[in-house]
Amino acid sequence: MGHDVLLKMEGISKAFPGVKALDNVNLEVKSGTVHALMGENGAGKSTLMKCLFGMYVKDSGHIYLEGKEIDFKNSKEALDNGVAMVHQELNQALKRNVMDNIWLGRYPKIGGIMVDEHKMKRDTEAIFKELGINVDVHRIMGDMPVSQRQMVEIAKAVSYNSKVIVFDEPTSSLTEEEVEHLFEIIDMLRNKGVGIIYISHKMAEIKRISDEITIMRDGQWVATKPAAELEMNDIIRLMVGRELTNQFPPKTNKVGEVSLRVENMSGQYNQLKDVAFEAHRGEVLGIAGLDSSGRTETLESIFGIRTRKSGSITLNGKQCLNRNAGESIKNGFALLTEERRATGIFGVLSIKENTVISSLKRHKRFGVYLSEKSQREDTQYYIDAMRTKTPSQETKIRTLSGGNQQKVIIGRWLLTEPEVLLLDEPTRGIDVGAKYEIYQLILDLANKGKTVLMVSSEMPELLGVCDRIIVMSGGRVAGEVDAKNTSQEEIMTLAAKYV
Amino acid sequence: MTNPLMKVKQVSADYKQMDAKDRKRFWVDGILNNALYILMAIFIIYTASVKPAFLTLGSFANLITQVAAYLPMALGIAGCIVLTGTDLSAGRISGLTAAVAAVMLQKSDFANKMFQNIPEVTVGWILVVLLGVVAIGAFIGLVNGFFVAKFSLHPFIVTLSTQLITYGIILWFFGLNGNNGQPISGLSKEYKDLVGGEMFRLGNVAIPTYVLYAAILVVVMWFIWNKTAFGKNMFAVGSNAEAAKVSGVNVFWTTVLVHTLAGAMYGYSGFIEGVRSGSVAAATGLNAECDAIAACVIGGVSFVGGTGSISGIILGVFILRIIFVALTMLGVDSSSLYIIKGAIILCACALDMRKYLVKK
Amino acid sequence: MDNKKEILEEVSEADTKNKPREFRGLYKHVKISVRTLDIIIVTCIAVILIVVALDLRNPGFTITFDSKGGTDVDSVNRMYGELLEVIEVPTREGYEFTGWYIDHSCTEQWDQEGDKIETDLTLYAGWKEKKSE
Repeated sequence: MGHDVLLKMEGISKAFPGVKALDNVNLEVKSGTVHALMGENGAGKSTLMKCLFGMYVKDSGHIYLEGKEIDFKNSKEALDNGVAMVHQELNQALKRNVMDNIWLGRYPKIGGIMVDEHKMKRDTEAIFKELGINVDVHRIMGDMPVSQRQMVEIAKAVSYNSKVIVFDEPTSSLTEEEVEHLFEIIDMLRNKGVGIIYISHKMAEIKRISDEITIMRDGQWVATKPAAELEMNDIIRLMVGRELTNQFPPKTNKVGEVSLRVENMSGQYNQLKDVAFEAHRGEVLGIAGLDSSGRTETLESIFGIRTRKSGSITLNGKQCLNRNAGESIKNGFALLTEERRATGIFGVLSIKENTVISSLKRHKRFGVYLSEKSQREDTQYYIDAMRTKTPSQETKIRTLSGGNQQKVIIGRWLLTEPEVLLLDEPTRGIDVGAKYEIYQLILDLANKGKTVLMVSSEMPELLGVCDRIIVMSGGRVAGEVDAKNTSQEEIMTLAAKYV
Repeated sequence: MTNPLMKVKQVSADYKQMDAKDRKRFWVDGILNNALYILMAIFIIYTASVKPAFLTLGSFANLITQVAAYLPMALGIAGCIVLTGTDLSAGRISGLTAAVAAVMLQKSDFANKMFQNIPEVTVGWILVVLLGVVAIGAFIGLVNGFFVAKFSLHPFIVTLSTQLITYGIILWFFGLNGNNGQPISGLSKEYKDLVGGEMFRLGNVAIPTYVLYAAILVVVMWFIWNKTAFGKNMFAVGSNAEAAKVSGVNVFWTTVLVHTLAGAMYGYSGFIEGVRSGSVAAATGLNAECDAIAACVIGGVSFVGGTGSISGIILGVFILRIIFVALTMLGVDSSSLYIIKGAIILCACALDMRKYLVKK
Repeated sequence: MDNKKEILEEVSEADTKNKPREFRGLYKHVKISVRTLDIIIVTCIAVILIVVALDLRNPGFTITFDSKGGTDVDSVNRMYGELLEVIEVPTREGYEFTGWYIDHSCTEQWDQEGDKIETDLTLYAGWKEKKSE
């Protein structure tokens, strides 16, 4: 098959007041190929796609689809012209069933009035069969897992006979198996001659699936190369713009005696069952497992924001009840939650407010009054210590990048002087450069004799940073491995033990 | 950048660099985002040109007096709005406390006195009554807060119920001792003097004592909002309740306390309301919360939650009062004032959303 | 998933187009575009101005009189800050008129020389029984 150019974006520029979001960016997608679009957060990938779909008006540049110049006003117009997008925050009618969602707004009609349910069903099933999707067309959207809803979204794109389909971080909430299925579908689409734009942060995926890779940095086009010619390190180098010889900082922490002991912990409203483990001073203990294997629940149960049915937590020989977050903080625990936006940051509040909120006690004078000066000192200390990039302490936290937000929240927890840090996906949604800094920070904390528990979905990260890793499966501890002498395969085997 | 002059320079420098399209947007944004200020300016200019009396010191004194009367309730309700909620029971609570205060502080020789064996009105007794009505307000606020915090009910529903219940109690109260729903009047001189007594005159209009009390309340509330752990926690809960819970903030108590504090403020509002209008009827305080909510929203206490400042609330109350003083002077009908009030609230909310949407 | 959301959030801080965005707090689930909001704002301002303009064609406050059983008294119109001045005196069989009062129970009398009109008003007639001779 001749891979002729299907979609061509040429010299796209877009400026927001004070920021040049896109600067003369080029992108060419050939039919029947998967074109990966990579770059750190804020590199301009999403802005570029929004210009394609007409969510932003580009300042300059041209977009051609099959040689014809196009300029979509909105994503509906794009869809009608065969350019579709599949991403996580799907705009789906959750109360309606699968068929309705696919044919919404263009129902097949009998006599112009009555909706032709039969045709709709036939067509939907035909598409599902073609794509190998096994979903009941009558199911209500909201009842289905995200992975299946995503499949429906793909089916919808196919039903429009889309020539170009954009996948924006499609695998971030899929299991390994679902990812496999997704890749099969993408392969099938590729063979049909569809041009696919694939946006992801996950190197392994990109290497596996893409034919060509375009890398962006700071709103500029950096390189477009065949995937076969790029090694992982090359990609990182191009994305970050500097040599990153090592993804992980050297491990210098020394593991001490046992500090935290969790015994036969079970959850009241979740599937946790008899979770027991020990963690040492100065140790980074990884917790691996599939999504919904109880990793997050374990941390949140220890911290007391989920109800435990049974179990005991002992820190340095002292029994800790940890009935709520306030008590846990007093007992020397700190929890960095998984969903930073939902349960971490106070978006409209300033960096200062975000930093001091958990340690207001430190600033109390005369019982009630909070000293402004000491709050400022604490905040400044952690801005400096973490090298948080911010114009001032008064800046609203939601204007910062993900990595910097994470640093502020870590600063918040360090101010409570914790003994045990529970970190849930500490590097999620953070770009490569900032990840390294977070790893360094974790190891520094271990070096100071703190106990760090770290949950992560990224296996290399666990292997690179942790001392030991416990693997969870189906709410239970499936096993424990030494990070130095284990492999991803061993961990995956354990993770599947109780599924 | 904090220097306003620098800011103006900065803006004008930015403006020079814009092209025609951006300039148009600059003006449209500027006009729409400041729509209420512009409206206020129009009313001021028009009223001043038609009625010269509007720009006198006396009229300014009148404005300050009104602001002082409306401010406490706005200060209370603002806390609820910061928590992304609202409070519909504010007006009725102040109506109830106004009635209780009035009955307790009637002239001892007044013919239609509701209860005969009430102690002689002295400063001490007035303070006892003040504490009593503030406690009543705080208690209803506590009930509001408890239901909101414990059962995660929407404040709209909870406060709507307490509003009705409180109104029922008010009607009951007015039916006690054969009063048969009559307004309560004949307030004692000591009460009137302590609350509404003249401090000094400004352009021939007396400034009553409650202006001073309002100033004190502002200072107290500013301190609570900005300098106490409770204030910080309030903003944290309003901004993101889930994150606040994880950060060790006691969300339950914060919510309850915010509503209780608000209730106490309504109680105080009721206490001065009786003196202001000379008598208390069952309808006293009706819809007062609308003014307070409108003032808060105009003053930048956003329904998005977690934002707002005391200075903003004062500004909001001022703007609303200026508009109404101007309209009353022009002789606009009171029924039209309701329509205008409604339009202002809607407009303020739309502005609030707009600012959140196009924030730079 | 987070990445995308964040970028979306960051970029839309500087959003220039009329793109709907989800609100928090009391506006949870509200999705509305800037254009719609602009329309609402302009409409509200227009309503306010129209109402004021309509009202100014016939400005002033209406003072109605409840003669409580006496002869009817027509309502009058006065401007802000004016005195009520002379009003008709109602009559009632067997009663003597004692003046106009602010409240229904006739405790606070309206001072015709001192009290100024500040709002719409209803005044109540006060009656005293004539001693039958």
